[in-house]
Amino acid sequence: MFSEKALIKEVKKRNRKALEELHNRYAPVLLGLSMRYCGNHADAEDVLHDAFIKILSGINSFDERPNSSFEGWLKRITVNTALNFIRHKTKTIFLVGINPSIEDMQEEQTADDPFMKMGEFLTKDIILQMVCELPDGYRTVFNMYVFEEFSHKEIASELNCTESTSKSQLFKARSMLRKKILEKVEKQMIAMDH
Amino acid sequence: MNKDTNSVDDFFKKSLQDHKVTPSEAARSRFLDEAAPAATGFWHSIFRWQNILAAAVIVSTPVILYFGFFNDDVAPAPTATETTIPAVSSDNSAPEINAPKPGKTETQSNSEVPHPITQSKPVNNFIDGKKAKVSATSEAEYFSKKKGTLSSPLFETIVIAKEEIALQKNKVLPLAIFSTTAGVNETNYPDGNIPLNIVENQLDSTFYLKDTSKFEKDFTDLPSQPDQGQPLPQLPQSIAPFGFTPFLIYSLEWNPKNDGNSLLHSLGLEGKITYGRFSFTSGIGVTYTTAYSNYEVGYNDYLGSFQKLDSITFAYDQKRYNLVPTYYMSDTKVWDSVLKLDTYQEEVRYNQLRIPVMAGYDILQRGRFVLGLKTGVEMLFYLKSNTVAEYEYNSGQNKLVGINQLPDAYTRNNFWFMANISAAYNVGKRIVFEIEPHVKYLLNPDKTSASPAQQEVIPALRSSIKLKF
Repeated sequence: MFSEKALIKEVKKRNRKALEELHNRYAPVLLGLSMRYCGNHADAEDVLHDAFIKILSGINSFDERPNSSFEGWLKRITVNTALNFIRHKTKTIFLVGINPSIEDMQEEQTADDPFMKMGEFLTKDIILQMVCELPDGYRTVFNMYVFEEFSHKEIASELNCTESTSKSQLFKARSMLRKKILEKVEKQMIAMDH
Repeated sequence: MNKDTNSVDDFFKKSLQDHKVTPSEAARSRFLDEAAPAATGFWHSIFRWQNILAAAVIVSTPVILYFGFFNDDVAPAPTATETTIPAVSSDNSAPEINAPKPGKTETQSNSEVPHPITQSKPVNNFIDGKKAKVSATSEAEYFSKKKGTLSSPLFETIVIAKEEIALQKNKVLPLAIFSTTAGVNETNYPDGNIPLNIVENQLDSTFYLKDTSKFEKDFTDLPSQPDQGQPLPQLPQSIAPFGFTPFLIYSLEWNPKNDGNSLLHSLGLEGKITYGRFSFTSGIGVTYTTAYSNYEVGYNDYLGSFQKLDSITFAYDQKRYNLVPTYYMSDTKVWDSVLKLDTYQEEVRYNQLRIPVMAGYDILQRGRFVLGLKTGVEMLFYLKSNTVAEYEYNSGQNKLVGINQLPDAYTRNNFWFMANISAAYNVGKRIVFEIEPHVKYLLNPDKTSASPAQQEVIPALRSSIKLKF
């Protein structure tokens, strides 16, 4: 087992054991991240492979100061690779949406949804599957806003759409996900009753 | 940092933030196979086994050909005596010369310097086209003749060669002189002054001693001089022919695997450094080619239209008994929400900066024709591109959502390893026509799946015209 510093040093030398250790240690997290963006396992593994190639290409430029996080750097590369992959493999992310009414959005934000707590009984694989089932545009905006904490302005700049489109896509994504969770929870409750 | 929190966001973020998914073994192996032997950088790309093997084949082939077929290794002349060239004395009295100089009426004071070439026994020195073994002599001794004592153009040429050897371009002058003097029939020039143009013509191409077999016949009528033949002095390595030739080159490359326009035009300046049969060429130029750039279009299918009710108004009829509604409708089109994709192409002109670095070896020379091998690297840097004719995509009644331009191979920098067979013909003194079938291997392919597939090994044919300065 290498420490993080030793691992980085050995990876720069292309030590095969260090490369194996790098893949074993970080590939599961990065693959989970890729799956959230790509929606299926095969594409996610392609993105993971491309991301690791870019990591190896840029490992010499990684800043090894104490404040910098190696895992955070890996995730950033993976996210960028996933976004590029989505642009090219699916060719386009064309986001066309309507503007939901401001009242609807505000009502959504302030509602305290008790079913969310019940959703904690769901397994993570099922929860991930819900995200994967979202349409491409919804899923991308949702991931960028919730997990990477992009602002709507940044999302609009990245995906070449308007801020209002980004907001509407996020609104629709949340609606769909809430609906999926409710369905799953209801099924589980029925199953538990029986 | 988003300030609006949401229970759905929190739920999914908490659940999936560091969620792990185990990759397949195939993915792991794929990464390790590619990452472990692979390395970044230009030099690592050079030293891959395919490149080393190709380089070994290219280097060993001329060596095998040379020793197998074009062996002109020195073989001792059976009757030639190895003696040192006598030092040229300041006394210009002519030594006894047995070789006849038909028609030569000049006094011996003008041509009496004991020149080893005229006193040599060419027959014995050129046996079966092989050079006779000669003893080494000092450069100073051999070239100690003063210019003023030599009046024959041939001798003048020799002296000039020593002084001006650095100025001679692309001419293996000392060797050429040996064969030239051995080949010129002096009976045609009784005054001993051989016209310079003949000498020049024979010096136009590079001569090697092995080529003098045809000239041996001119010496068959000369009496044998077993004791007076002086072996040819071995050319000292210090005056081995270094040459530099700059030239303007225009080339046309044909790539049969290219789907688009398969011709690549190139115009540039190159310089060639020669050392015997070896050469090194580099330069800079600009290429021009036309190819197709691909675009992808996203659209929604047109499904049709319907009459949408905008509003209804009610008014009493004339008798004021009934309310009569009036419907206001508008024609509304409907498109499918499913995104569909289409492609189209535009013809684009690409310009690239070309920098070749090639090492060559001439394996065969016959007069004006030269056959050789070359290997090296060709670097192509993207400069600019221009659309030849814009294409306006017609989506009809479908709703156009967006258009994306896909990346192509010409908009990136490409580094190719090349192995060429070169066949050149010197049309004149300054013009060379060359044909090079070759194989190119891409040293820096883009392995990411987002990029289009690029051909890594390309056979091609290049023809070029070179204008020497």
